Amino acid sequence: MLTLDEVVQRLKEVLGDNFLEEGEFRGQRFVILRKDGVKEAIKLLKDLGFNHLQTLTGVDYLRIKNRKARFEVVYQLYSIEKRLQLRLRVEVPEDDPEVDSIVDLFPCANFLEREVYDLLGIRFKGHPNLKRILLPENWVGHPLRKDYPLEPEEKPLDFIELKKLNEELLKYGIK
Amino acid sequence: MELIWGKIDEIINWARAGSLWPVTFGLACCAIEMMAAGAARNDLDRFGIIFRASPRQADVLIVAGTLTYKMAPILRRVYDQMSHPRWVVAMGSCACSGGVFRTYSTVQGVDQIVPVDIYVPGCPPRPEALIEGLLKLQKVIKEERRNWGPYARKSLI
Repeated sequence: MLTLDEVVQRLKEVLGDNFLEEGEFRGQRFVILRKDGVKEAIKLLKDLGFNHLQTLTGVDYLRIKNRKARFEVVYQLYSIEKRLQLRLRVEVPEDDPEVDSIVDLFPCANFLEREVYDLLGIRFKGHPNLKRILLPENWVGHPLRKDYPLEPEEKPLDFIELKKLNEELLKYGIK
Repeated sequence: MELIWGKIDEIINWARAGSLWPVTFGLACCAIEMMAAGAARNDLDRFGIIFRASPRQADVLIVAGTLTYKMAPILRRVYDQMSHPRWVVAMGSCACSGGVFRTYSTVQGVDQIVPVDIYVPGCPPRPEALIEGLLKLQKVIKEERRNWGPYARKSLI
């Protein structure tokens, strides 16, 4: 029976330099990787029986001490047969926020990657349809970044048009 | 002559206030309270208020819930599709002023894009509050003067 220790050991052997750190938080194992090793790691884990991608999300660690990379992409993988759970944390630097897409391995990552791109601005190389999913298509900026203002001064263009239209109609007494 | 026009006003306003047909524009949890107000216990039907799912055949637009910038053009389109005369009720804190959502994506009050007649605060307002608001709207309608026929058209130009 495969155990998590063996899985982490295999990852360490295969990834080499791209494997940065391993650890445990409240009984949940995680490994920290360089972004070049994502695809390889997930392919290996899928071959080992991790057949369920529970979640894929992004984190912004702006102005947090002792951190080299600003962003992190988190993959939560689960093996349904072996009941093992492993978290992959991938460091993504601010100057080149691009990670390999895993849509060809896990099709459910399609929308999740689009969400991360929409809200944090991390691009996914090889994604079939990388565009905004939650916000309007003409939106400027990525709102879940910590340096994004709470309420930006500039509103969406079509909203400004609507507001102008409303004010103009009200001026003529048209309701 | 003034007396006759006044009587005609009264009759028309009485008819309009007695059969308000709101178009449902439920956006968030306020919509649940709106449904509760329309259902058996609170029963909006007894005031002649019957929900109509089409904007073409409705008189009142009840904006129930948080309006986002993505949804704003759609609200305006639904409002534009309604025929005259028409009124708007902003239901809940979010529709009145943005409420707790002072964020990048929320419109800070629907009165920025459509003219609002009645504001019903609350998060969400209880069905009784919505009924109170609609009764206030009936009062507003009953006090309208010359909002019909050629007079109404004159005010539109």
